[in-house]
Amino acid sequence: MLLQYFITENATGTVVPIEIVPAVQADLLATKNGWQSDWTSEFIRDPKLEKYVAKTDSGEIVALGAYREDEHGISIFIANMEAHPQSNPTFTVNRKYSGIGRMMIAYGIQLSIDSGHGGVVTFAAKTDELYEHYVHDFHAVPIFQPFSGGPKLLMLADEGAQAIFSTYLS
Amino acid sequence: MLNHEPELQVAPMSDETMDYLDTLFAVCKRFHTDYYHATQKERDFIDAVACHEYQLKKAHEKGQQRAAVPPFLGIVRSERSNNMPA
Repeated sequence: MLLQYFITENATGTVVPIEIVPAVQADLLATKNGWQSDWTSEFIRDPKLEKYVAKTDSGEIVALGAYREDEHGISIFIANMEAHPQSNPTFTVNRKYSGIGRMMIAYGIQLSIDSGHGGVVTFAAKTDELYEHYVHDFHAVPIFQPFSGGPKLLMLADEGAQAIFSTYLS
Repeated sequence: MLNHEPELQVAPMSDETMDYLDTLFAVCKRFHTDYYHATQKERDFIDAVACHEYQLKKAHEKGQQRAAVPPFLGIVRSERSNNMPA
């Protein structure tokens, strides 16, 4: 069984293989150049957050993800994940690549299995559109949010997690 | 006819094997996978998860760190993750 992460270049339909590895400071510093978030911020510097970078073979950074094990050993929190500006729908309607979000969630599922959390991941949707996308297309389950106005929380587990992760297995 | 049938036997199953099968079927249950009717890809996934979780369980019983268990499907672990209890 082979695991290979990938995204799709929208202009050509080309499938682009991706490597995801722990991020180093140089990767985080790249976000000072037009990214939505500053990945050198105090929030992201939290040592409990595991930061990972997704890169193409040519070294192009396409996404960053920050993951954290919950203290009760139930799930991996996807504390933040962000596509590079060229594929970030906040910045452009003509995204360079698609499939970045699915891939970074799948990576969270891999981290969850690796750390003994059974493939369970939890995360917050950044927008209502993404919330609908995660629920309807990824079969994520909403978690009750006790704080009004806060982000909408979601959980992925079991066969929903397997379906997403299996996208990258052959 | 019956005289030509081989004597049917099964090999004795070790406690370790049964322990592994317990893990395998727990993983099947969690992922709602019917192992017998699953596709090869589904079975490969279940096998990989069960094998990893079994190793974590054994390492945990020995009080070892996560580093004692090979990373799941080649994931590159951080040092912090490697130093966590299995």
